[in-house]
Amino acid sequence: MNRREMLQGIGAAMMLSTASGLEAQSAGDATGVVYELRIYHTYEGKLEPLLKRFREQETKIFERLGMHGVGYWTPDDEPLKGRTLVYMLRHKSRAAATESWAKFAKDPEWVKLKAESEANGAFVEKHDITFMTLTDFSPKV
Amino acid sequence: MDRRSLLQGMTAAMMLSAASGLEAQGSGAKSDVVYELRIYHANEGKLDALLARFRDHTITIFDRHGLKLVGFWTPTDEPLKGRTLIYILKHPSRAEAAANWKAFHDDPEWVKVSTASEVNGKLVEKVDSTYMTLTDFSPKV
Repeated sequence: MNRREMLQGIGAAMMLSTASGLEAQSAGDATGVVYELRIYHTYEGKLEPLLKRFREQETKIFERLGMHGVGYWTPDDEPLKGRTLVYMLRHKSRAAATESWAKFAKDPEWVKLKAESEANGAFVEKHDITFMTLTDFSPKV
Repeated sequence: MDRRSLLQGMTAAMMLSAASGLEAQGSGAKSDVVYELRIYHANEGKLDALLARFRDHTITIFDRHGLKLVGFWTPTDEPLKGRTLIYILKHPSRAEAAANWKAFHDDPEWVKVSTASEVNGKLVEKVDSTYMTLTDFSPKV
């Protein structure tokens, strides 16, 4: 290696180092933890059965598959009241989230639960899904 | 008081008691606590200035007025990435939320900081605010 190649190598290593530093910063958390905000807009009259399914089984399946429930809420005011569920999950990483959701979709308990609970029609008309990272000034969640 | 009016009185008392029991149950049991999900859509190129204002000033002023921050996030994916922030506040009650927001908006430091930070244009295009109640199956938040 001549001096020029060596300097190019050092330059490349520094750029790589800077790039990974930026990535860690934009991920907001050195551990890769991500949060997922999910807002479910239900069909008319389907919020109660959806809440029952979450209460009795669905949240337990989440936990079994490594998806940690941070909080589950229902809006108080129109137009969302009575037709919306808001919840947040915490995942170890974005890759872990993808893996957990893939397992969830194929989980025998979930497949049976969904088919039985929605025998008279689907519950959720639309899902809003937002992956997020904590800002550097946020309280721990 | 004759026997008949005594019985009428007892019945009325029992109905009142039952009604207040139902009311306590309907308001999410033991507490009036409400959560507020706020999603800020920043004007083009203004997210960093908005985050700096929260980090350096706004959350301190929130704290002074009893606006308790649960968590503060930024989305990681398009189309929200780089232009959105999301946070959740916990209020003792809906009435206190209204009173605390009023005190915040009237706070001299907020008025000064807000004006100074927007000399080159408004930071926020739109705020979505959703008041919510924890479901009976949610973890504590």
